[in-house]
Amino acid sequence: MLKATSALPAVCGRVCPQEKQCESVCIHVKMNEPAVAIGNLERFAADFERASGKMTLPEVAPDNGIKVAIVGSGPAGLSCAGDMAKLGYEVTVFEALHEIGGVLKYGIPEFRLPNAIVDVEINNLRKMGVNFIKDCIIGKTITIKDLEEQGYKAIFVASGAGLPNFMNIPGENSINIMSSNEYLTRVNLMDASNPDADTPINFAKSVMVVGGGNTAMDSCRTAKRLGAEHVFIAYRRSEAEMPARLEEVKHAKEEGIEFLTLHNPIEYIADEKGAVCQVKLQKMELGEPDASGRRSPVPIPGAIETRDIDMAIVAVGVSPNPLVPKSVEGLELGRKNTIAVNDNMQSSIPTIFAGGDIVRGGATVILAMGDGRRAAAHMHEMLSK
Amino acid sequence: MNKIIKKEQFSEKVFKFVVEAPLIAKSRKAGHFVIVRVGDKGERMPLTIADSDTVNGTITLVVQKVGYSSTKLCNLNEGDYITDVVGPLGQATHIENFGTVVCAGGGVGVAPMLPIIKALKQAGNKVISVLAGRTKELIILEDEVRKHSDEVIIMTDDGSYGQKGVVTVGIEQVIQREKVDKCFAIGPAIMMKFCCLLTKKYNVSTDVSLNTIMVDGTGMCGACRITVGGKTRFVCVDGPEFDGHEVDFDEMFKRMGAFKPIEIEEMKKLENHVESVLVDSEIKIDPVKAADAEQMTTDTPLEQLLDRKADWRVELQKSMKPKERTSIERCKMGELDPVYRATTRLEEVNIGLTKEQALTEAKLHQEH
Ligand SMILES: Cc1cc2nc3c(=O)[nH]c(=O)nc-3n(C[C@H](O)[C@H](O)[C@H](O)COP(=O)(O)OP(=O)(O)OC[C@H]3O[C@@H](n4cnc5c(N)ncnc54)[C@H](O)[C@@H]3O)c2cc1C
Ligand code: FES
Repeated sequence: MLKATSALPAVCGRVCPQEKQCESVCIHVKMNEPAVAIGNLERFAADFERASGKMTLPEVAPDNGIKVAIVGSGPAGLSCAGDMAKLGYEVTVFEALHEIGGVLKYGIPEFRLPNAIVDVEINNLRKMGVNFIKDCIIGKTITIKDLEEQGYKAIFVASGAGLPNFMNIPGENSINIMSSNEYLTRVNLMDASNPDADTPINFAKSVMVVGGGNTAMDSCRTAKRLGAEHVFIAYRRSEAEMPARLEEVKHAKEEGIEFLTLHNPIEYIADEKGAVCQVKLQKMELGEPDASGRRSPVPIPGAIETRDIDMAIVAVGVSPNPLVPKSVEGLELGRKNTIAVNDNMQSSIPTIFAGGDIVRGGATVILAMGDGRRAAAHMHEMLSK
Repeated sequence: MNKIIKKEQFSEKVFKFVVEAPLIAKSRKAGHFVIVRVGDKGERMPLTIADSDTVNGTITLVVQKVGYSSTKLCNLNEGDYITDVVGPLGQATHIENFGTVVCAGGGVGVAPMLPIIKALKQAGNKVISVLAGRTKELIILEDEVRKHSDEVIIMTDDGSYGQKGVVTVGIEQVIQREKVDKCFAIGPAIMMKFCCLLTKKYNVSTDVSLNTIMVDGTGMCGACRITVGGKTRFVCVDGPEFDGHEVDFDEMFKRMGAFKPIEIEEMKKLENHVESVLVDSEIKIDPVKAADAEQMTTDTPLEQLLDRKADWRVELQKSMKPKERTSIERCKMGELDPVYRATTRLEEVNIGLTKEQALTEAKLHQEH
């Protein structure tokens, strides 16, 4: 049943914020009781099937000879690929990196989502006939126009929100201050903490992670695992406003991460080699609710704390990857270089669909997968006319 | 996987590779670079495309042995494969008819300069190239540069070839002799810094090509960031070429040293480098689960599974009173001990539900 309705249950069961989704609308919650652990059950079913060796592939319709291209192999791209393959299309997924999986591989750490789990899902897609081409950047190596000339009848752009935000505060370009994307990519994708891997990573004793989302939680827990003695989160709002999954916050605390809420870094101080050695933090208090409905933090005048650190990881959000949007003429853009789409995930160019973080900005795995499936359905509708 | 078609040694530490990459050869322009990776545990390393051949579908890379990864690449031979080559990356060089242009290349910097020299010449510029190196052996690509330049000045530190002196001496000669409209400088960071200090004095606008630390090369990580004109820019997507008079070189020197001590460690590995064995992500089959699965059917039609009034559902619902059902407590998934798990990066924290837990929890689900 899960197979027919969800593209990657083993993944979703692990990383979706169920408390905000299915479990929040669970009838048990209305009865003032804890919700059914739907996420855990989802994971159980998928894991059971894998370990039983009796894994079944969904039914695939006979090949209809129509070529479709998918740009990006994150959850949005993978779920769209799966659905289009089931419908009998010849699907090719183009990925810029040397690994398939998007954030599932380079971002989310193995202690939360093992790579092997993602690989099994990818191998299933391969068995269903999906073709993967890595090391190929659409808009650089080949263009969307090239794809059309090669006979691709429709294109789904799922290139994610790859661009890390920085805070633009003094000293932020010092050594050992990096984006969570860099830190997690080095550790997860490039396996930098393994002495056999070539990519370097510096180990630190005292690490500050800025931000309150899943990425911040993943970064601080990774730093702890790489041997940092003291790791703290600096977050400018209070814990109630943290966007991270509840479970991640709980796990981080259990693992000894300090939560410094209502603190915002305003300046870094570097040593003579240019490596960060201190951070100045502005203390905040909660004021009026802002546009997002969350109470916005305001600085307490004069309340500044200085802490010694030897690494800072900045996890204050990502912006959409501009590579594809910028390379297609006439493509209508939305807020912050996102691709604008209608309810059918169709862009201003009818043969180009888009979904996931490239449309929403940094969002979630489940929304990305939903977009992929909706795009597949409407792509099919368009191509069947 | 990209095949090495030709390898040529320029000097003790500098090699030229012609690599199969038809798509990149077709779409690349002067100034673009690629990211290459050697071996399964290889690092992603940026290299400028020195030339390309669209007919044979190849690109040319010039590589100097400096650290671990570049040495690993230089140890490959004709017929070997480079694990990954991706590109073309970055912004192409801004080429126009400036008038008289000085192109200063230091060391291997001559390689990325070559396509710029070609393009400038093609656009109708008078091109004066200044090639510099410590000694005669380190002057590379001289013939190719001569072919596309109006004049070539060679500078060596020890005077073993051309004039004795550093690169800026050569540039200054030209500026003092005639009107120079534009300068390009590519080479070691320190060389570019001094070229820019000189040309700033004479008010000649100068573009430099920066070779910062990179990871992905697609704008995803910010490892390559530097300050240009007081603003943070990403070299891999906004560059690699920038207005040299605006670049904060001192910050860049520091950032480029960020991983130095570790790199030296890595170099040691080369000496006793053992190719790591490929481990496939195999699925391990659990005999107990396999036996359970034998008992199950998977061919029930979906409609029947989704049917709220199906016999199996009614039967299940009847097997327990609603009161009894709602009194089942929400199960708690097992987790690894926090003290232990904070030491292991690869072990999953959540260990999943047991079969019993899952079946109990599923009963709770029945009233929906
Ligand atoms: C550390 C971290 C933890 C997270 N934790 C959670 C969580 O617990 N739960 C949750 O729901 N969400 C989480 N998220 C968010 C979630 O991962 C994203 O919302 C989701 O992955 C978006 O999927 P996507 O398919 O749109 O994009 P991505 O997963 O970003 O995939 C895009 C892919 O496209 C490739 N690409 C980009 N440009 C091109 C191009 N031009 N040509 C070819 N390929 C290209 C990229 O390399 C990338 O592989 C987390 C994010 C991060 C960074
Ligand atoms: S190398 Fe990662 S953003 Fe430039």
